[in-house]
Amino acid sequence: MRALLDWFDDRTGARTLLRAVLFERIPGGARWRYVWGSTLTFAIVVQFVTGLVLWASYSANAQGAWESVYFIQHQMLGGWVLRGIHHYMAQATIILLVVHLMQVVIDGAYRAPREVNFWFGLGLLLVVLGLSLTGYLLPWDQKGYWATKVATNIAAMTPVVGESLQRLLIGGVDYGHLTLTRFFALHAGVLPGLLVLMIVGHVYLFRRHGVTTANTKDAPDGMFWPEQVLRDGVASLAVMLAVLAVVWATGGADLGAPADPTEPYAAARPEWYFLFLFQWLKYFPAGLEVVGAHLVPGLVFTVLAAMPIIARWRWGHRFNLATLAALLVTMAGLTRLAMIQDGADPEYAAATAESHAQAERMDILVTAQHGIPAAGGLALLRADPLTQGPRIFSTHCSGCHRVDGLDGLGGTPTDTQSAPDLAGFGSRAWLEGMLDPEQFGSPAYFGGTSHRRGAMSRVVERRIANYDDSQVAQLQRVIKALSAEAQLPSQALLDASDSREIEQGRLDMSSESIGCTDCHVFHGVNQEQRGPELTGWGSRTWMLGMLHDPGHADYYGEDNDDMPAFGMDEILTEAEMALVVDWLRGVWVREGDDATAQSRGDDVGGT
Amino acid sequence: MECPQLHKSGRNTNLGPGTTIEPAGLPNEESTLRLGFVFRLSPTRRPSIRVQLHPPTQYTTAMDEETQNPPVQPRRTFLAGMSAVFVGTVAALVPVLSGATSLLDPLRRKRNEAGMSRVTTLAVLPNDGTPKKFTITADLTDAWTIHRDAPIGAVYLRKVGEDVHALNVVCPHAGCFVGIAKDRPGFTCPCHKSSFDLAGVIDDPASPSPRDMDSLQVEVRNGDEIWVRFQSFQAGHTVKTPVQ
Repeated sequence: MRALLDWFDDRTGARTLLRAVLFERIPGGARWRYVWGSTLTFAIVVQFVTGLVLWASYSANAQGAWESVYFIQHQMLGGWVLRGIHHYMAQATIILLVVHLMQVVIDGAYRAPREVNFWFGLGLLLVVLGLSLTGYLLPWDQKGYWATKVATNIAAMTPVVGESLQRLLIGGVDYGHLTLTRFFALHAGVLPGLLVLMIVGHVYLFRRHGVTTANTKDAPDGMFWPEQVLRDGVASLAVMLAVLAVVWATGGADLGAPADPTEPYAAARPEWYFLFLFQWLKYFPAGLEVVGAHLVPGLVFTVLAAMPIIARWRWGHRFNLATLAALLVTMAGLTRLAMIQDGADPEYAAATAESHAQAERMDILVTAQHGIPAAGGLALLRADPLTQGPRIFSTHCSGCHRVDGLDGLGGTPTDTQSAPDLAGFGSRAWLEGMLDPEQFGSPAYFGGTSHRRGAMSRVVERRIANYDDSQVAQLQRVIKALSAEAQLPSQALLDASDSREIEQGRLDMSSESIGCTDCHVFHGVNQEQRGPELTGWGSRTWMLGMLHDPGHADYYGEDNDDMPAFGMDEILTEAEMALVVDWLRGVWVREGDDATAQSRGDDVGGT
Repeated sequence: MECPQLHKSGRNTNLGPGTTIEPAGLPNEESTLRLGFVFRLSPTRRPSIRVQLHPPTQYTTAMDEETQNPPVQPRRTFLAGMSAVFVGTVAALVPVLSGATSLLDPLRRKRNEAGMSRVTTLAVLPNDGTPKKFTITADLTDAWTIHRDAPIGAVYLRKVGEDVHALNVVCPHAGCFVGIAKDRPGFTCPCHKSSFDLAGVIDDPASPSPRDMDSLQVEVRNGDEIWVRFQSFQAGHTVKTPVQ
């Protein structure tokens, strides 16, 4: 064995190299304050290890990035821990870099002959910031997408070359596949390569010049191995444990809803260590962005880089100390200000809450599908009535209609309500209100429409208002029968248990004392149709037909008031109409549902 | 056996407090960088750091031979050197140029032709001029994928008397998605708080946006159909330039 090792050493010099690495002499002995560089190296090694494994499961394209990260986060064994470590160790790296920089400046360790090494360190800082900037986009979720849009637009503000630079960065004029492939090439190839080169140069120069010592003249010298290595190891373990604790406490890194250029994301913020720049940009009014985004940061960085030279002057070192302190205090202040402003902004809070809700919604949708369909995560979200229904309603319906008095998204429309509130449309409660003489003419029903003066209003306000007890009992059965036509999932159990009453109610509808079928068609009973067809009233098919063309003879016919023909006039697509109808009817995938069961012919029960 | 050059180190300038003192009697060797000069190190000695730079081999390398037998014809050396640089550069230029060419491809890419898209009808817009957000649908080429009738962007539409005005939802400042303000009639960008009135005009002098929101060309066809020419514009400039 020994002979083999000797042979290997002879051919490669491995033992000599190892000794050279380990038996570095440390004047004044090993110290805790020397651990920062080593913990930083450790943090970067962790990023390489976790990054490579993430790479093995990641797909850099617009139709697979979010999906593959979802897989890593939710389905891969230990994936959330792996991704969490990579995410939070990146932040730890930034902290360690800043601490290291502070230490170097405070100790004056940038002085001759260590200037070049100081510049290597600044280069490292830039590369690490570049890594976090490019890494932010890779999950291709709303947060990364919109935050990176801002970042690349700021790059485009660079005088002269800005727009070309932006195009080269994002691989064209729009964000897409090439943006991801390019960012990934930077994140996993170019920047780590630079990082390795700089670390090698940095460590080589460090070994060449030795550790910067202070006040250690009397202390005996020590050795890198094992005294300092032990301290470095303990410090690295502490960093690792701290990161693990954060991963554990937060449940890992966030993954928002898939990136969607057509949906706003009001909580777009950069990672916390860029917040100061984000806040900084708020203070540069029209036309001065270049000053805020390029000139000032460029100047600050130039001063940082010039520190070893400035330090040659008599007060240079103190100037550097003051500059660094002012810089750090300003950055901390701006960061704090950004956090305070966001904390006091209800819209930001709402946007953050909505983004979390959407992430959870994606989880429910994917789970119900037993995976992400080939069309991708965004397609799944775009086909979700619970997500899209309110949006479509808000844009296209809330000008006249309401849902619980609001526009569907929780806002209050400015237009006066001129059509019924559709919350619970088709349900017994909705019908009871509509057939209530007190409510028919209210804004919540037909008060804002021409039907306020129509035939139905006379029925409700004159006849129903004077119903005797037996007619009231009949009307209750009619309500149950008509509501059963809607086949609302939320009422399925009630409809089933009241089947006998419903049967009777159907007969009551064409009875002389109630007489719905005097005007309406109901399961083929009627002579002349004057009001909307009541067969299947409130069902999916009925509502889609109404949306398609309310002026059709089966619906309002010539009596149609202001309701647009959403389908016939191609205002909405079939898919959009189905989304809003399903949402109004309460039909959407719920937690624990199996969305694939229906297509397999299973009984899905409630939904 | 020891290499004699070790003792004749050139510059020995660095004698500050950070100087590494070589252990066990080895001379202080800080700043020499003479690759390939040292061979046959004594295995019992604790090596200094610069040892790793030297091939610790007992065999003579090509480099050593050259050093031991210095070339005698300076002109030939010069020519050979120049040729080496030239040949090497030419060889290296091929992958570099080929790579750079392909990397620069996005510079010649054009955005999808900005045609008119049918967005909605007049009936859907509130008469009081409240803006509504609409998604623009068009064919979208994303590198190797073609999305037919895909949502490619969004606009705010609002009625102004008989006319319809269209604004791109993207903030001209840094490209965030501008939202409809909740506290007043107008728009606010959720990122850096650029603030616009309902017509998309900056309504707050402290607004960081360099220009008003980008209006888009609108046509009302066949009486009530609203058509919009959807375009994006370069963010961050006072002048509104379409991205093409």
